[in-house]
Amino acid sequence: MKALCWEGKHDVAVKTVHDPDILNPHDAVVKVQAAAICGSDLHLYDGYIPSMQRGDILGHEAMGEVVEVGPMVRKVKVGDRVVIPFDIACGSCRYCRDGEFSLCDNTNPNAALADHLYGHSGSGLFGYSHLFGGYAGGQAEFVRVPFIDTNSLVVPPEIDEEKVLFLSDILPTGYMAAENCGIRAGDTVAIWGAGPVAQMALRSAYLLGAERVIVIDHYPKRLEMAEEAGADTIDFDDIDGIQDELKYRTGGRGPDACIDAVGLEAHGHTALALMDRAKAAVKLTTDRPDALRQAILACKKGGTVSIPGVYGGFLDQLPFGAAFGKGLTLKMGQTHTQRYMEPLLDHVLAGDLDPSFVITHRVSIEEGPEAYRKFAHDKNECIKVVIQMH
Amino acid sequence: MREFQSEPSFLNDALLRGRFGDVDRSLQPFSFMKPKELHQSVTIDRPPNEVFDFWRNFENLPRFMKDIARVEVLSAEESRWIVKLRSGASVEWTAAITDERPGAMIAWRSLEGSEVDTEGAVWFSKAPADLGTEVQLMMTYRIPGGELTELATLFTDENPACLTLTNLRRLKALLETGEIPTIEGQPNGRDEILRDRNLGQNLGRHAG
Repeated sequence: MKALCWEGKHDVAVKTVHDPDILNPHDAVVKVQAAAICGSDLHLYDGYIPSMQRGDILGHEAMGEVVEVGPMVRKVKVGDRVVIPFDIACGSCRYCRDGEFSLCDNTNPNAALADHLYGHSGSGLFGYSHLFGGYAGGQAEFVRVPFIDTNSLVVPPEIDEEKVLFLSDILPTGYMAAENCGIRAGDTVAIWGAGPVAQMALRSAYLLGAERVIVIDHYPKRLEMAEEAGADTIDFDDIDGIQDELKYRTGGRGPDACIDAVGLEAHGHTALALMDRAKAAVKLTTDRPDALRQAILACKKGGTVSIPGVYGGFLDQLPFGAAFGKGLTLKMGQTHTQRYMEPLLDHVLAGDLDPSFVITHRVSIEEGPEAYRKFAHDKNECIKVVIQMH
Repeated sequence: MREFQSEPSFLNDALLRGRFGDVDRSLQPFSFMKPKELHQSVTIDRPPNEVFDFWRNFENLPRFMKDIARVEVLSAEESRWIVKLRSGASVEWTAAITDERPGAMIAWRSLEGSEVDTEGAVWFSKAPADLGTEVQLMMTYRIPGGELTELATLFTDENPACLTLTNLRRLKALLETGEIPTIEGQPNGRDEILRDRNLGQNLGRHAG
């Protein structure tokens, strides 16, 4: 089969590899129809994640048709059309039973590595480095899905794939970010970043009853996309201080909740290398607006800062005194995608949410490497890429 | 065979206390210069009796212990352990059960004069609320090649403390889900080389 493989920094290639097999009794093989490139794939592309290996198959947003199931698969059947969540959960451990799927105990074969870095390991992830299990991703013609009964959402055959593909990651991620805000009537939510997760978060915030959403970015096309959903926007290139601007727009109170949909990543292989990578990543953020710092400083007293943006290492200069002094609540973590897929599918079927608006580019697998390049270098025009696999 | 309980060793002390409170010293730099003591713990969402019974059938151990190639049960007390090293060589020893409390604890020690000098104990205790079983494993060992071998393992992923924890996690996954997570055998871009050698048997197997 053909697959998009990570070949090194700024190097993605279409390669012919062997088809995936059933390796464990709860596995399935899915024929991928469509896969998307995620903003977090760019961190792999840019070479920030050292536990990638040359030849690793990329991708964690995919959907397709089940073509083979293992002997212990009970619910999903060959022929089912499924969306696959980016996080891999066993469905049996305590965390899974409590709905905290991305904290699954049993799906990372390299858990010892993550134990060293974080104290404990979360779940395995598709196509996202060996620190998170080294699972081959979905930007391929076929993908092996462990525990398919837990890690799939069966969708109706007639529904447009572009309306359900993003149930794999960015829609649940944006929704959980908004849910974590604990929105009440009259609330104002400020969102840092206007990328795909932010776009989903802002629409979810309105769905959950926010009165106003303010989106902060500096790419005009992304801000326009936010405005189309009714958001107020701030182009941070046009103003002196985000904090002052947000205070001015909220009667001095500050937003009731702030969402950091920017994040920063620093992963590693050994504890020491991880520390080095983390320091490098923190240096990187000094060249860019520090979303989390701004969110903490801008948030109203007693408010909530929700963090769907991914962090990997150690953060310098975090205004923790401000967070303490204002009695803030901080909520964060990888999305428990499996918890949100079904209720969000209901919203899609009911017409409340149609996440396909975010797609700006549709490409074939052969055009995948060029799509990565474009996505990395033209963030204004290129917001979301969908790859047709079959 | 030495009388296990009569020796006031690190392990006995730990057994009497029932659990370890200090940090994992084997992970610190220069740990190869210290006595080899491993202790790791994992919580498994199954009742203590079930976990004990699975472990007590020593022939089950290679199912989740990556380093153990085979365990042959010789008698009610003695078993033969076979470990495959990375070099391809294997190391064997015979261990005898020195203490056993059904549903709660198993302790063992290699017979005197064995190639590997090791003793260990594993405790199975009820976890708080309905969380299942806390499995606490403690081992001391001396391996062939002694500290040089130990030093070498520090430069690989197979750090003994890591390996012990990985093995316990594999046990947990096996008992909680019925399988052990793996990526061995999955495709990747490195196997284009295999195709060039016409070894890629199932290229395009799902196609059409």
